[in-house]
Amino acid sequence: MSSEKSIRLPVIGEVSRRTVMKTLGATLGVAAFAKAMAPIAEWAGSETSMDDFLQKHYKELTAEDKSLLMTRLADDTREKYGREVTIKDHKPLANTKFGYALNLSICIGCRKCSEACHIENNHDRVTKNSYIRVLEMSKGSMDMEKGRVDYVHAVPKKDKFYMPVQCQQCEHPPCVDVCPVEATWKQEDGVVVVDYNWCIGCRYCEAACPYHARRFNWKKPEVPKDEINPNQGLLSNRIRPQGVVEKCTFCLHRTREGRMPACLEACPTGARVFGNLLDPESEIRYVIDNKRVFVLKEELGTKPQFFYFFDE
Amino acid sequence: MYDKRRLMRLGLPLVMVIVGLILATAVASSMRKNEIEGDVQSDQSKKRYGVKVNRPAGPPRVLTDHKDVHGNVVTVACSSCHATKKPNPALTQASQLTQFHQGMTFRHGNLSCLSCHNSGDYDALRLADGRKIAYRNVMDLCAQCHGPQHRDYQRGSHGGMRGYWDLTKGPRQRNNCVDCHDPHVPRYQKVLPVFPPLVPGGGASHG
Amino acid sequence: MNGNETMSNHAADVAGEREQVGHLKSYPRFLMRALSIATDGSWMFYVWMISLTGITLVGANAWAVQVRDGMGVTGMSDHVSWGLYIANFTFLVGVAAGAVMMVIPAYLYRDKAMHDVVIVGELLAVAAIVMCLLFVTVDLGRPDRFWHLIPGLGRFNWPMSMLTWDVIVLNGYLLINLHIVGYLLYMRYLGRTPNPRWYVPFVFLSIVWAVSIHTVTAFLYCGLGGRPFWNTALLAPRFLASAFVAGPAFIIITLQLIKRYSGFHVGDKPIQTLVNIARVAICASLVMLTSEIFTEFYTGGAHTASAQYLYFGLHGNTGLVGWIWVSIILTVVATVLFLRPRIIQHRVTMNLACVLAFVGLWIEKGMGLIVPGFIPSTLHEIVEYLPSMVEWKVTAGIWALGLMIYTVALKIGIAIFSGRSLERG
Repeated sequence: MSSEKSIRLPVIGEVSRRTVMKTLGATLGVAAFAKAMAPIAEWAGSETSMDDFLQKHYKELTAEDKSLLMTRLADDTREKYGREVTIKDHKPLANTKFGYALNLSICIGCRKCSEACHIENNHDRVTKNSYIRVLEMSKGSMDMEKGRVDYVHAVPKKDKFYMPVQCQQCEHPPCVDVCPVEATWKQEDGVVVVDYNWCIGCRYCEAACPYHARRFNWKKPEVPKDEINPNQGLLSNRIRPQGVVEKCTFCLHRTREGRMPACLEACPTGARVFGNLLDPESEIRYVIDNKRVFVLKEELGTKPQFFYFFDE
Repeated sequence: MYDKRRLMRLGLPLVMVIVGLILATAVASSMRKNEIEGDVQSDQSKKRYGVKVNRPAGPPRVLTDHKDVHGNVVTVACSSCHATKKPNPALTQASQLTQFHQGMTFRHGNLSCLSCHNSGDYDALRLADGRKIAYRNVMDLCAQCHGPQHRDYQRGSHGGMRGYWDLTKGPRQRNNCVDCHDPHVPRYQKVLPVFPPLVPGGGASHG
Repeated sequence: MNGNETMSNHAADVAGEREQVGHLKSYPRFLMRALSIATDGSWMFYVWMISLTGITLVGANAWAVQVRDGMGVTGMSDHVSWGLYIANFTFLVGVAAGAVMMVIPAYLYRDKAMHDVVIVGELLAVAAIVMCLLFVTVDLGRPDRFWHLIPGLGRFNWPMSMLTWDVIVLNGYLLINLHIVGYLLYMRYLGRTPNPRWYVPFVFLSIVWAVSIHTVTAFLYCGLGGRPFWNTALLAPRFLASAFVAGPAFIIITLQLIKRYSGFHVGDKPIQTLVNIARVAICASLVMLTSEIFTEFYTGGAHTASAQYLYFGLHGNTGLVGWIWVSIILTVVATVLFLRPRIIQHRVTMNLACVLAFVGLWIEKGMGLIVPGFIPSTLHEIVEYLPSMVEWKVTAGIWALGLMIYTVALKIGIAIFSGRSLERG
């Protein structure tokens, strides 16, 4: 840059014209910057709050903190979605490790599970989000490369079989390893959960998951008032904020109350088996002990707790 | 002085590599913990809720053209007609009939009508050994041939269900064979899939 | 160590201790002087800075809209969940790391000519890291929760998460380089000889650290078993090799611009050294690329799907094919040009080679590395990705801001280094 030529400019008092220009420029710059950033102020004013900003991590909350938080979230839902909801904090069950099995001989690919998930978990209606993707696969191959998800013809189609994929609740979940802020972790009964109030939205977990199980809230979810499922879990199906990651929790708000996951109840063919892997008398254990089960991408060492099997 | 510099040049990368290797190994190995799991004994003392299996209400009733005083269609038992008809054990298709049931399709192996329907009492069914069995217990009839399915059903891995996986917390309701399978055409019927996923950006998958 | 230098260093040290209070006065004066240099300049300087400010503001506004309306305004999806931002981040980590290729000759090999201009590289590292941090920030869905990443305040998943390692190494690299250039400039400003004790250890640390930033950034991707395209041990070495091309290529151009516009003396020797480095690194980079391509395609199978998509298209989807072949052609042409024996005497050829290599590698890191890692998805769905206008605006804004920082930093650095702005009185 040019060297400083000390041309004396007209001086007003002690202040040179150049300094005046600089100050003016800086002021203009700051004003323009404030204008440019105005949408953030708008968003901060309506979509978030100081409480939200200072919210502590789930694991650091006392029982009282949690009840305050759940009240606040329910108030938010009333205010923004116009619906009265009950949010509960479902603790992991003792002596329980959830397992899920899916009978590929029976599944017909009707996607009723995917739809049930959408309704049960208060998914965004615009993106038709669901934690379950159903692959239509070619008989004679386990190569997902040959599968597709957007079929609309009558099912089951000849020479095809159907493979729904959702969170595998891995024993070694890569998504948990990569999270920089511990916003996602595996609970004692095997469910991998996300603290929607802690996630920073970096989406590293989405990149790490080998099963396409995670979803990001690209926009604020839209759910019509009357379609909101009011029975909500703090770590599961309560309405998620914009900009955070979410995932299948085996419907922990149902299963930790002893009920079946929504996708299982919706299955018209009974292809889905759910239960406690630690209970030798359970249905899921019967499948594992008596059927030739397999897991997806076993070679990755993620140890899924979601099993697939064929009858014949 | 020169040696020191040479040492630095060689030593620095060496130290880097060693430190790096130690760190990488430590981190990588800390990522793989072994979990120990053990079976739990289910608590037999706890009250367990029941499993309710759907059942047909009773033998089917045949619609007539008549209406009763309330305007309801009058139905009659199968036996009302069949009591006067002579059973034909050779019948395997409705098309072989000259009257009644002609529109019916039958695709269920090489069975004849009287493999399951009871020629002695048309308001009941018949097991392979000739014993009579009520419509309500149709599952036992199916089980005669479909052993593996029946076994899996009993162990909860065949047939849809609703309710509680944990029976100490609530009851469960289960389907009957004929809820999903039409006994005359038992293959599960084709359906149109619901809820196709939206693929972002309009991009299509492949196949 | 030169004997005289040591002596004067010692003297300065003693004087420094006596002048503890003096720093309280002279350091603010130094900062004021820096501010003054940073904001004075020719009309060209003002045009340049105002244009960059304009672009930065457009970017800032686009980002603000993205925060308000959600990241749905980008071209990303649950299938391709990282895009232009993370691509630029990865590339710029390389540029920052590449700057070390001036530090190594200057300090490890005592290259006097390089030593005189090494600050150009160190300042580039600072500007590039600032841009990296900004690119990560704009990629966050919840930038308001950035504090969750601060060790002590939030919950830092260290050592498990490679991203926490990246946070440490990037911020560390920024601090180390800020310290080195800040200290050297301040000493120059005071007219004193810098005390090696206060910066040489940091210089050596910065060399190790430079390698670490790009290695750790590669580990972000290559540690993911579910993404076969990234899951290769060759990724970190490839990152380093391309970094040692992109960094020097940028600096070679910068050095010539500095010479032209500031009158600061830049000899041919540093440029020759940088060309030599870029020459070797670009060859190494191509060798590794070839090795990668061979392994992918000769082996075949499902693991090749991403490479197939990238280079030739898959099932009729060819979104990245044009990009990657442009990148390969640029890189190969740049390599051939760099290999011309007396390239340094052919300024046009040399600058062309630098620009081609820089652009080629920028494409390779983004459309050639980050995006195809997601296509096909882990369930083998093909969802293509194109950056949205918002993403281009934000990206341009960050580049403009980075260039602004680099311009100002160079201006201050060069003015003080060439002795035109010493402490008066």
